Amino acid sequence: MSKRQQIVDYLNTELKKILKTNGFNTDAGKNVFAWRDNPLTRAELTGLIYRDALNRKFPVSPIGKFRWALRIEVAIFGTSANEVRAGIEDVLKVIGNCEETKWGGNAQDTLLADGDEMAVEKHDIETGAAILTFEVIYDANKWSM
Amino acid sequence: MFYDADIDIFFTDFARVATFKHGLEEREIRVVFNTEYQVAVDINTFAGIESYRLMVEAKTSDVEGVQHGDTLTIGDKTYYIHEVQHTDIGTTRLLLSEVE
Repeated sequence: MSKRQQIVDYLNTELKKILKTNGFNTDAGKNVFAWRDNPLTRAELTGLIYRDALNRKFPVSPIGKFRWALRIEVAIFGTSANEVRAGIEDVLKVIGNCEETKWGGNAQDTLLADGDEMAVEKHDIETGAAILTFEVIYDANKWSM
Repeated sequence: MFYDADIDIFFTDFARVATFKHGLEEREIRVVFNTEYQVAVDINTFAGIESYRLMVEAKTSDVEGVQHGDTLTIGDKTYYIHEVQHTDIGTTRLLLSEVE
């Protein structure tokens, strides 16, 4: 299994731990989806969709390795601006936990790339979303990821 | 093309009674209620959330001076008016939300 796959699996496992019973603000961990392309239902809020959208190779890598920056976007969806902000905090905490373990020993570093971008709309009810973007820096053997 | 008499038939046959509250003024009017499916917060190509646009069509003469934040109560539910779309056929479409 590639390191990229292991990092994504690690993220998936950690995001699913976002539960109030684990000391988080929300229960977003009950609704975690990878690359989901159809809209979330009301019952799936607070919910998270993540995607490993870009894997950028560093121009310089350790000898015999490829150094990668895996860009991951996590979208947080909720029924109010407050809920979304609470979700952002939860996801940030998870990313911090992942960094502490170096993503299960698979990565060198984690960079919060662009911070977050948030939107709130009022249709029949209020809904909101935010995207957190970060990069996981990792080394893989040459010609692998 | 609507004529005045047609408008009355429209609001007699298909409308529901609603309480329109504009400032301190409150009156009963008839509106045609409708919903339109819409995806909310489809931010940066992420999938978004299933959502609905709630709207009513009212006789323009019934909602003269309508403003954002005025309310419509239909049955036991109160909606806030978020958008006002005037038509040139004597009706006004009001976009509603359950939240202010």
